[in-house]
Amino acid sequence: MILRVDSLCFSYNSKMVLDKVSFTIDRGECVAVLGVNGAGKSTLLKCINKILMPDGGCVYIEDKVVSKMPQIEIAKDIGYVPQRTNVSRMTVFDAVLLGRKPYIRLDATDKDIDIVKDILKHLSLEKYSLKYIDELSGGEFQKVLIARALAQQPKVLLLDEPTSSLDLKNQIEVLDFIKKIARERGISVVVIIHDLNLALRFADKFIMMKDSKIYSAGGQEVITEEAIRDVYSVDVKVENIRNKKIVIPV
Amino acid sequence: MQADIMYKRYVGRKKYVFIALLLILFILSFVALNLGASRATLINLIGFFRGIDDQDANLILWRIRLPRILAAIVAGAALSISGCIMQNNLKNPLASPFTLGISNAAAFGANVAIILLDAGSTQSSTKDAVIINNPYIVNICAFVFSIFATFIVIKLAKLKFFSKEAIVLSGVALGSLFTAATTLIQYFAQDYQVAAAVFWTFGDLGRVSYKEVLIMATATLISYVYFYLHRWDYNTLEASDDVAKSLGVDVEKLRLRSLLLVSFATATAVSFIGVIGFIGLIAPHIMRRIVGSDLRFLIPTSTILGSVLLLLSDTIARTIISPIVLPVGVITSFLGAPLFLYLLIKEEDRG
Ligand SMILES: Nc1ncnc2c1ncn2[C@@H]1O[C@H](COP(=O)(O)OP(=O)(O)OP(=O)(O)O)[C@@H](O)[C@H]1O
Ligand SMILES: [Mg+2]
Repeated sequence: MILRVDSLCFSYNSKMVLDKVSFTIDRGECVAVLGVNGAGKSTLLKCINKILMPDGGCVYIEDKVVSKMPQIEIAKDIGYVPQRTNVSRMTVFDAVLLGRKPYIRLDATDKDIDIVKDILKHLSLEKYSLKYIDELSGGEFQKVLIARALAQQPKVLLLDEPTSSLDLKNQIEVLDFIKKIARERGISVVVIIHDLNLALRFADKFIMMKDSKIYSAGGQEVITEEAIRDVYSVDVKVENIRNKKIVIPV
Repeated sequence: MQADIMYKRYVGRKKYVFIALLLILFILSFVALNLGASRATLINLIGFFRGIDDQDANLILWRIRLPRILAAIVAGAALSISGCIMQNNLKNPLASPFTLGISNAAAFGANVAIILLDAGSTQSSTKDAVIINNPYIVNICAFVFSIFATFIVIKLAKLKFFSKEAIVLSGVALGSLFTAATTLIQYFAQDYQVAAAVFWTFGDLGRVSYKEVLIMATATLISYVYFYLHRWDYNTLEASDDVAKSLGVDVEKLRLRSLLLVSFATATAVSFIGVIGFIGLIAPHIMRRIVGSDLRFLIPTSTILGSVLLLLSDTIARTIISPIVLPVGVITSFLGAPLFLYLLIKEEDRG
């Protein structure tokens, strides 16, 4: 077990957004967080790596208490892709190189540059290396953000809707690549994702959130017609096609 | 070609920009040392090194022109680097060293010294009609009030966890409060005192000697070292506060210290030479177009460009209607405003 979230609570001003959220993730496991807009998914991710300080509860990463770790140590263990961010005038290579920031003392070393080079190659971003990120398309930029989080070489990856701007091919390629890395290097991935079928294809475990709480969590068995009706108030059919679970809105 | 090799070349090219700027600054300093109302030129300088002693020329070169040139280099660097850090920290291209209200607070401090503590007076000679007869009290008051303003802004911003909006808004509010207070004490002052106070607010580099240059240089250097050591941290702020935190940056601490050091460098410069507008706004702006918003290159290059611009402005101020020396603040604003608008319009074109 690499990540353990124990009855995490958080409120904005007095509005409760996370109410005693608990779950655990094993090494190399990919977990999808599902839920309607405003359910508290993004807030949950930000509380895990102390971008927001939780009001209560605790996050453990390999038995270390995250809230007691300095931010720079957290950054070596947890990579993060935000739901939205600014684009500044910076080249793709520089933007990804920022992911090495937790390890950089005075200047980037050849090793840092090699790591960035490899990631750019794997995500087919090489040809954009020296392009400014404010001149990229939405999907290309999103891949840059994912590349940056991977450059952190973390043990846990927190991805907040990382594929929302990607085309079908890139959605599949990028998620497959993340899954492959997760398996190879024993990285645990928490990904917020709205496309249920994409989630079913990618994730090993599912966490469904409703009204600041976890509605249900577990393997594919938690994705049922009833659960989806409860969480999203939408009627769907859940069917097995060629041994794959598929959600079809009716 | 491999991405890493291309990248290393690209980084290497940016270093040339810095070297080119240094070269320009060097040449400009020599030109400035040569120019002026009285005829003291490099011939005298060369003569000096050969042992030919021309007392008058040496006095002008070493005691008047050189400290003034050094003051322009140091103050230009201080203002420009402060502007660069403010624009990055507040993510606001319109931020400048004066966004925290430092210029207004310094002006208020100088007014207090000149009017309430009676540190200024008039002289009958036509040229320098106004003199400040106790510059140290004025410098100290200006400095104390600048730092005081900074602490208030920081206290207010702290309530909102150093959010960018909180910093800008409290700076603006405090600035206008100080301006109102300045107007109030001027309203009840004698004419000659108001004249001296207004004269102080026009930035002027002729007021400083080597000692003041040294103090300014120390303050600027301390800030520069901190800023440059944290260049990677500032780069993460370019993305967003959340991303910066996720990359291990303590955003609140970084902002707090940056604000303190910006204020320290700016307040030191302003209390010695008065308010000089536009350098801190425009130098980082120009450099951002040339080297991008990467603070690794933006910090050193905009520092030098600030020096170049202020030295250029001051040389123009000294020579344009020589022997009268215009306040350099007037020239920077005259040059800065159109340049700024030009950049703005070009920006529109691009978008
Ligand atoms: N900075 C903030 N200040 C106050 N309230 C906030 C803030 N950020 C989010 N909220 C509120 O907290 C709740 C949860 O927000 P959160 O961003 O975690 O939702 P989400 O599940 O990620 O939704 P989405 O699917 O739309 O991204 C929402 O009701 C939102 O309005
Ligand atoms: Mg969200």
